[in-house]
Amino acid sequence: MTDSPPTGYANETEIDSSSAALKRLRAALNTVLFGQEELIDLVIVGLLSRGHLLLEGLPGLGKTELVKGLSRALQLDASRVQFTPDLLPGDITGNPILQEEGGRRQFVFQPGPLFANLVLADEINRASPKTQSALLEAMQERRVTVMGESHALPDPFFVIATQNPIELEGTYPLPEAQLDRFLFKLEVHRNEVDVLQRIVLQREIGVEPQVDPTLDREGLLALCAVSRRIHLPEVVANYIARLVDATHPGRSTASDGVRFGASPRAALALAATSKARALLGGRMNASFEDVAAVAVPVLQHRLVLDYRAKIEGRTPAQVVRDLLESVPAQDRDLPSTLVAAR
Amino acid sequence: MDSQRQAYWNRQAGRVARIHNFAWWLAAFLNSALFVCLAFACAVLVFRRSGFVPPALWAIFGSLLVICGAAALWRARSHRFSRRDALVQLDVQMKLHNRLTAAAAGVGDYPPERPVDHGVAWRWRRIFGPLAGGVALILTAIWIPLGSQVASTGSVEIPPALAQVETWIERLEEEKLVDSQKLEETRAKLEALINRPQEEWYGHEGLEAAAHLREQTAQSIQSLQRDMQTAMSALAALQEFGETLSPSAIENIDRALAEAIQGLELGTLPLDKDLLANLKSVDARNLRTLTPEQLEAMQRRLKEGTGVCQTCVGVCVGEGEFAMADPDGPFFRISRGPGSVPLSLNAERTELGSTEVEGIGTGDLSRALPGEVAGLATGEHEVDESAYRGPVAAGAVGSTGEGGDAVWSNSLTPAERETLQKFFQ
Repeated sequence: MTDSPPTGYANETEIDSSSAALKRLRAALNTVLFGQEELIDLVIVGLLSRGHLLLEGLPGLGKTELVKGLSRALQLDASRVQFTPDLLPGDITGNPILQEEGGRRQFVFQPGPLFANLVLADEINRASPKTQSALLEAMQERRVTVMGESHALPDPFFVIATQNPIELEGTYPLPEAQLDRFLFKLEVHRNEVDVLQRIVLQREIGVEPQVDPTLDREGLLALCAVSRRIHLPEVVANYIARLVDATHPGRSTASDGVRFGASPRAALALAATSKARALLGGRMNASFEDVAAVAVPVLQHRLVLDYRAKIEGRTPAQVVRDLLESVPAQDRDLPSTLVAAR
Repeated sequence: MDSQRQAYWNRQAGRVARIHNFAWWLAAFLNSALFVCLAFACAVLVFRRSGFVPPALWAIFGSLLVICGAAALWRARSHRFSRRDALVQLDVQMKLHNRLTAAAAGVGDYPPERPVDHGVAWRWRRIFGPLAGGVALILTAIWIPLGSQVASTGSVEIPPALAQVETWIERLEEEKLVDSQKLEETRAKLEALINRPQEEWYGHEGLEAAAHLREQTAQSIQSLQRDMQTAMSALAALQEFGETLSPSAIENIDRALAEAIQGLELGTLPLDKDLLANLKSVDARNLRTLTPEQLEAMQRRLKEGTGVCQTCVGVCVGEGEFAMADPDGPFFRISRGPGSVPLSLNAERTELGSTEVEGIGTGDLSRALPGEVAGLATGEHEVDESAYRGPVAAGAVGSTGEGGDAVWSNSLTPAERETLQKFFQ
């Protein structure tokens, strides 16, 4: 894998084969989690963009099942950490253990649960800020430093963190600067009656669903590479830039009540996820529609609202939806003699 | 196949671009065209008022429109809608996932041909509003009746005072009663007033001047009439009692006749020269110089002249007093009122006949205005002097209240209270 910008756009053959593989992955995950097609698509888009995901939802909605199914379908090493207030940074990064080898004592690094391709950080907001920052640093740097020695994390490395929107007493809500490191913040909603009925009929407590492996580590990395080579037209990049700029106070009417807007990292995230979504859809280029589809999960956790907006009950997701309404895809004014037809 | 699709979508994009570019040009042109129409309408009005509209005005108007069109083209240049913009517009409108944009950049194929939705519609009211406004302005400027045209129809009558003076002059000229040279001077004054702009005829100054001329002329005619009556009376006395009159009476008659002749000669409107010469030839002391027929003829002529004056300004009923010949005539029709109300105070107050003074009370004293009489009563105040009121402390507070009392409800606006309630919900 290279970090330099890709040269040359993905061709039709690559896109067709990638799209077929992704459809198989999507089908496999749909057998794990019923009625959450949109969530599954966004999770796949997040993986293709090599980003970390923050899932928010009530307990029992299938967040952990989704991660487990993902690890099986992708044949990746997975680990799960239940975050608690007394969890220490060393508990997740690993600790040096004093060992005697050949009559000589030395510290040997014992890797922690972070050393896996897919890490499920359950209830991340229950850990102390110190532990949270250790995780978030690892997410950003993709390496862990213990006692002055750096240890690279496996590639690919994805963190899927969860947090509950209830029972917030005694928790440590993630600061905005740390939330910015998550590519997506996805909300897991409750299921409809017909989906619940399907779950009751096809699932049993204590029995994990069978998931067929559809991809391996190399296959996933190849898909990520193809995703990076999806064409992003200049007009779409301009739309992303205008959208992110409009999140700042005073830059648009929709940003009323926003205290701090989104960062350039948000713009990069929008571009990467738009390309990944285009690949998932089997298209050769990212589009305005792709940007609009990923705007809410990319931007909603990066906006800080002021107290007035909070009291009025506005949510960041609403602000983003208003932004999508107020910022036109094409940055051209209409003359007074023309009107946009519906 | 792909080149065919490319040609199709490029054709459609060109069409969309042309629509947008023409719309921008039209938006810029309509504003300036409306301004040109307004200026042209003003020019038409000005030329029509002067009585001649040059045909070149239309050519200038056309040229200005052409210049406006060129200027609009220049201004619309900054909003130029390119073919690339049009492809993006089609992508957005037809939800093509930017396939046209990507294909134009060499990534992927053009989508299959399909009917195109341009995504815009003409705003007809914005287009035809200025056009209709401009045409309406020009038509109004061409057809609206102007003040000068109204005046040229002659429907405005000259002020009654001037008309009356004109009638008098014509009558005096017809009867050859007055010296023609002096009559011409009066006529010149009259014509000077008539020749003023018609809009000023009924202005304050115009009416004032007309009234003054009429009054001056009337006084001259009255003076002429009075002198002629005096002369006529003197001649009648001489004719009837000439032989029997005492020398002193003849002296008096001769003096009166001389004064009358002087008045008739030196007045503003002097008597006709021939008639005046005849009068001057009369010698009261020697009546034999004139035959009775000559005296009678002279009296008849003076009587006719008096009658003419009488028909003009009325009958002389005494020294300086005249009864008007026609009280319902135009002389009386227009009046500007009796004048200003005298601003003088009477020594005694005006008695309105009121017999009883009654006070106006108001039941609600809280609504009484400062200075308003709230009620009238006679008698003493009913104060219970024996009642003990106790010591009165200044600055006492009626209710100290408890901590937090009423502060909550009074310090929040309804909007703030609603917001807080929503927050705690």
